[in-house]
Amino acid sequence: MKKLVMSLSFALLLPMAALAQSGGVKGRVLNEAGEPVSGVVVRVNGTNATVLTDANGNYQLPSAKAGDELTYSCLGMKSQTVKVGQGNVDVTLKEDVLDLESAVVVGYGTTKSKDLTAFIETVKAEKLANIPSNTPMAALQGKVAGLNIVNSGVPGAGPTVTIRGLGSFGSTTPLYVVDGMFYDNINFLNNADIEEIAVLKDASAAAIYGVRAANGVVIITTKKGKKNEKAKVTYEGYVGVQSASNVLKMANSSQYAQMLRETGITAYDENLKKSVELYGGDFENNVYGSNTNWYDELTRSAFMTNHALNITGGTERASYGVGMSYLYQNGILKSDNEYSRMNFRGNLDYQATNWLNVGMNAVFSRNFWQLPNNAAWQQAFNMPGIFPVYDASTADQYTDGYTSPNTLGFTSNFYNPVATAKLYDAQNRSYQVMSNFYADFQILPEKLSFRTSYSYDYTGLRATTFRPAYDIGTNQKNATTSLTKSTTIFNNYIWDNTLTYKDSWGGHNLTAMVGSSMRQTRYDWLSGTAQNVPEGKDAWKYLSLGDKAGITLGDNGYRYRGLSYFGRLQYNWKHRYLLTVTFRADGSSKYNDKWGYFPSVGAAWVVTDEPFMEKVRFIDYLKLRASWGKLGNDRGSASAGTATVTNYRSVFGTNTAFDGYVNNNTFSWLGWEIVNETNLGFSLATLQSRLKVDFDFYNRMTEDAIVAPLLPMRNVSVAGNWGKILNRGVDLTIAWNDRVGKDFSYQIGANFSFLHNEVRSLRDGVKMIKGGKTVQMVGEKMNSYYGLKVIGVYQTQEQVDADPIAVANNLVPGDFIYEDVNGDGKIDAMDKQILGSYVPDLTYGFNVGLQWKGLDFSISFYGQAGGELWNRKRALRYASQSYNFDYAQYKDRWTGPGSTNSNPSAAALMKSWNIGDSNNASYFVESSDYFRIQNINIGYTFENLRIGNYTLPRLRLSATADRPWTTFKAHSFTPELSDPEGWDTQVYPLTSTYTFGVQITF
Amino acid sequence: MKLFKKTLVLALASGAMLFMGTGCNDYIDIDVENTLAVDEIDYTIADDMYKPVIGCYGRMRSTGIHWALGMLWSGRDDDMCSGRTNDQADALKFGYHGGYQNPTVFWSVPLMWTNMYNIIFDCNSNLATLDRFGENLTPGTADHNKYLSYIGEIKTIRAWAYYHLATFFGPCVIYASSDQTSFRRSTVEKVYDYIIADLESAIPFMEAKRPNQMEHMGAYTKYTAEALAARVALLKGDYAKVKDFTDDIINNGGFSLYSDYYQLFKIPGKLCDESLMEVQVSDFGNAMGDYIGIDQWFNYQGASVKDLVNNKSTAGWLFMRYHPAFLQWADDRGETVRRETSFLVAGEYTREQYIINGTPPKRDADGRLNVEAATSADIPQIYNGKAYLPINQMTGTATTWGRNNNVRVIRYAEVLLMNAEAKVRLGQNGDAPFNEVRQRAEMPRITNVTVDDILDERRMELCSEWGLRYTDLCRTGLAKSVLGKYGWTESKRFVDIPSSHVLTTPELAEDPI
Repeated sequence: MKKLVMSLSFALLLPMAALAQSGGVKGRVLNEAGEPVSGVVVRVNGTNATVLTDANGNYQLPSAKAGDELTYSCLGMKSQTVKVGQGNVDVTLKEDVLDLESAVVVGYGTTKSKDLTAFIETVKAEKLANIPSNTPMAALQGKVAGLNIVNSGVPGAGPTVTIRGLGSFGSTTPLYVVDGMFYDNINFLNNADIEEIAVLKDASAAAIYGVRAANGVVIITTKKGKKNEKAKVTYEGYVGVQSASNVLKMANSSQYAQMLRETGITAYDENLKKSVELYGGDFENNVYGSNTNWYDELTRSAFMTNHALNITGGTERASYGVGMSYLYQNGILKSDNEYSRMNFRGNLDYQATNWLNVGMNAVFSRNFWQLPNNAAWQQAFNMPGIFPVYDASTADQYTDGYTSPNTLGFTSNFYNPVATAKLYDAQNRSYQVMSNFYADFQILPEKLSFRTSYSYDYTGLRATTFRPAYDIGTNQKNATTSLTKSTTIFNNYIWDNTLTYKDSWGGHNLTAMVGSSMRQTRYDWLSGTAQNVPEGKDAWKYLSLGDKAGITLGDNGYRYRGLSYFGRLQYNWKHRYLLTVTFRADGSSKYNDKWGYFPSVGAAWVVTDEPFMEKVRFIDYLKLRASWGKLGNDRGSASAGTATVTNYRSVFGTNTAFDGYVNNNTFSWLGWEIVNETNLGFSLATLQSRLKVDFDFYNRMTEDAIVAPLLPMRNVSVAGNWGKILNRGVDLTIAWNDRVGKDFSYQIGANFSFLHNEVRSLRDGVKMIKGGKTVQMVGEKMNSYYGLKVIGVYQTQEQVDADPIAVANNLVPGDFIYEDVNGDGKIDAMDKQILGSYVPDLTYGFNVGLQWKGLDFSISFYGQAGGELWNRKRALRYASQSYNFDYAQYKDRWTGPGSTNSNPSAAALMKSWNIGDSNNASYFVESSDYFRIQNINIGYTFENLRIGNYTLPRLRLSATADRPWTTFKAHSFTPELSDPEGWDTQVYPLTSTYTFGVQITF
Repeated sequence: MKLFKKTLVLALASGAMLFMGTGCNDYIDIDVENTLAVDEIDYTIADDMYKPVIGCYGRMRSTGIHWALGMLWSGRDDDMCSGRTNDQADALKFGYHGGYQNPTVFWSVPLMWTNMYNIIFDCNSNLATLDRFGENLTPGTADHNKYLSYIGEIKTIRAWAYYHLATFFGPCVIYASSDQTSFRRSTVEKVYDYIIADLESAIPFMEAKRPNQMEHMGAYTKYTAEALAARVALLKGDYAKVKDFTDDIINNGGFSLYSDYYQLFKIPGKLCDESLMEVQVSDFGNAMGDYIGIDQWFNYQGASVKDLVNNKSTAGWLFMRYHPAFLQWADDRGETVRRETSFLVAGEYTREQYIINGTPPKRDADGRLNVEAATSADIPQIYNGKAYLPINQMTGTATTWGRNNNVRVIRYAEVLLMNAEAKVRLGQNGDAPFNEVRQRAEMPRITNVTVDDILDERRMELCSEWGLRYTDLCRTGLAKSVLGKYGWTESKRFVDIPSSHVLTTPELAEDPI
């Protein structure tokens, strides 16, 4: 043991010893241009003897002799095997334009790209480096076909990620596997922590993760050193500024008053007159001294910065990587809101003996969030500009001099949005440790190995919400301070054991793996709230400093366990005919039917390796792929499978309460959700491999989807595996890669994902299940909006008089005409129909990259089409007629016959016929299509920069504009909504970010 | 040596694999955290027997007393409407303001249906739970008697839910057991009979005490059940039954009217000797924090009231407003005690000398209240004083309307008036119980009271309470003349079953049996 520690220390401290070169076989490795290639691994087949080429491409293998087979391999080059004859062995390696040799992680192992039966897209660290995103997944938007990412503007908030559509009524979050550990998101990682991200979409790739794989799998490998590599120290960082993009234009005070005036309702005149009286203006001529733009009052430019330092390297027996990073993101909401994250990372891999390799890997992440109060965004939409943020004349009455809505006579539903944003103090602090320990045993060298790996994650989250005492009028006040504190702890482990056998004979190549995995997820939550906690210092935020009486407590938790057995067989003949078969059996404590079985099979054929294809010049590479498999989904809460009780407290007499319960009597009996996926695709390279096309068609049917229809007579639902959801689509990736002359190269890429999402069935006899916001209806997209369809606007009194529906409902010109679906001459709930869904039909991305000498430039675009959102901001008008209007509502309103046939009059915006919460008029459904310049990046790289006596190997300076421009039709900040059902309310604006970055390799 | 090592490793590896293979089902066979299975409850502990009853009280409080239902219960007669045109405007369409259009898409309607059936369902399953305790008890013992009386408490809560279904929807489903799969509606008469029979089956075993004498203070007693049964019998026109039930309450219950009508509805009147049925809340003496409450029940009816001296104010959501004609009628009658208590008129002052904010209701040239305004968009601000809690009765710094007040469901005054009406209808003299109510209200005695007198008295005494005025108008046939001018017809009496439920349970569309 002592010896091991010592050698580990030496491995870390000592630079790699130069390799002595004498005897055996020697030679030189060149590339096609005749230049020497360094760092090529030369291996004597069937032994462990390897050596690297030096800076001049020379190598020497003392143990090799004539008759041996030598394999030369190097990243970015096609491997080559040569038989040793007499004299030196010089080889010329060809460039691996198609990346066929690169190792791709496939879950519990790696495979060479050329041997895959599935299309696994891998995003490398370089692609993440230029994007100033607060979390790594946010940077992937538009980069991978079939991967849909919806970003959020909130500092520190991660995106919503789905892979190949929505396949569950429950969680649709993919599985993230970080160095073997399972996660629901990777928001705790820094972009610079990541070596590469692999996205497993189809069943033959993902099925090895069994019951966790149904929503797709994202495998993250953190940065690690390589053996026999000199220590490499890199720094990358940027500083930048964010600003709110596409801020919605609202009606100003005059326009607001004009709208109210046109309604003929005089009840709100008193608010307007009061504004004129206090803040100036002229009521009769519609002029207002106060014209507050609440969005301007709520937004600001905000600073963002990221710094990362990584050190990697390795000796003959050990490799290591350590790193640290710091990210700070201020919020564009003009109040305290920010996010910061500090990460430390380290890994070590050590070849202890020739049969044992051990290692460990750890990430420590410290996160801090000062959270924004998103309620302010909706309030700013609702509040007209007729009063200022502050009013000195009432400063003695109201907190911090804020103007109270009461001042103008506003009652409930109106709030000073700036006060809402600022009189709020919520913080989250989290501490996360991810660790992984492993040992690899070589049982039969090069053939049979056993790996055991234990991963452990601890996340502690401390949340503090402090409500200060304030008084901004009767409807916006908090008499005493209150403090809510909670502690959330996640405590998870996974223990994996795998036995892998590799062999080759003749043209046959075989890799077989069997394994088992056991895991536990544990969650504990404890929360308390106390009143009257002193205000002023963070150090006072303790429940024990508040009132003892009236403290409330909450406590919850879960513990789930899983046990899995799995196996995978990868076979190919001359890398031409490829077959992958996987099988996984999963047991989970969550469900009543505990065991599920997930097989998959994938096959591929490299057509261009066939002799008959040699004559076909115009196709350089063609691989056909087909796969089928079953994937499981075990997300969602555990099912007790028996009746349980819900606790209730009831009062009996003054301040006396007793605890009792209600026997729920209804309970679920659940099993897995199972996705049945078929995938057909091809990879094609043509025009001297400059053009590459990857095409995949998939058909994913979620069988046994868990749905919870309401029980008859009640608003209680019981879940069962009754639903079916179809996701069918095409993922297409096209890349063009070329070089002009010696110095100029360029790439053009595009990716498209087409998706057809459809609810195929619900419970027998159930055609529709209503949720709070959307419905699930057989034959329609998931999460569809359901309501009355506006087919026009009544233009004239004659038109109204001629329509019995209009007469019956006392309508006037300017009101909506709804489609009478069943033609019964009245408009009621039976006339509601599907109005759209947030699920887009198409997402697409384009990118262009140019490099000329040291200069590089890239631009990328992203867009989506075919989805809709629900403009809840506008729809909320049902709660108060005198809310403000957005500018488009003012500008586009119906003003007389022929003015518009789609927008209501000002008066109509006050009537429940048009805006009632139970009608759900299609007026509130808007297209969520958008198109965006995702990122523009320009950089210059200095190689071997001399600074005095020191030569700096590499320095890159860059400037980035992230999301500088977006276009869309919806009346919102952004059609990217964190709400998976597409409700647009309380949305924090997305930001455009402009940064200046530096990358230095020492 | 090398070979030995390899073998050792192999053995280790296989051993590890094997380890995970053994007892695999034990590893994943763990309990769901933080849940208590019904089958795991120890039913031999008689002290725990009240727990399922407590649960039913909790269910009634949290789902039965809901502000969105209150808008419909009290907003259907000629005296009160939901009150706001700029929020929840559809609620007006169930009353005079909106001409009894009864739009079943309005969210309160399905909520009424599901919330009441949730209470019924939970009462059903908790009765079954209670029976599991009962199985461990010997008949005749004190614990067994308690068990029988507890059944009555749950049945009373269940009957209360049925009462509201039957008065709002008319024909509805008798959901008698948890595993019932047929949901055919019963005629409203059948539902009335079911409620009465169910209560009668429980009454003999319930405690003959006032709720404020109960071990669990405020728990429902024999007299609560009788009062509820009397309400239903009155709807049926079974006056003999009404008389029997109310006689028992009057003669044996020991109830009395609370002297101060104003305070009866406020903190001092909580669980007084007039109370037969209350839904209890508690803030445990704290302005904020731990609170067992009733959502927005008082708050939504709240006006904006200000204590000018101490510069403190409380404001609610401004729903529920009286018709100016009703206030005029009360004034014409010479009401003083009930006028002060029932009406919070904008521009006037409360007993505590707090100003009631808002625009005073318009008056015509002759000084009488303008009645046209009642059906305009600007509904006169005459709020419900029975939902009012003065700031000086609120706990500490609390300002939320009625936060620590109980909801009065059945009062002894209603029992007296039911008794009087039953007597008069049966040809007897109802003066005594009738005048007991008037006396407290400081109104002059009337002799040889008629049914009309009693209905007027009920209109005044019980205004804004639980839609009693509306059911009075309907059961007596007065609705046609009183409400007809607003668009009411017999077919508008009940509200249709929400289509969302008919869609999922088509059987509900079939004729009631």
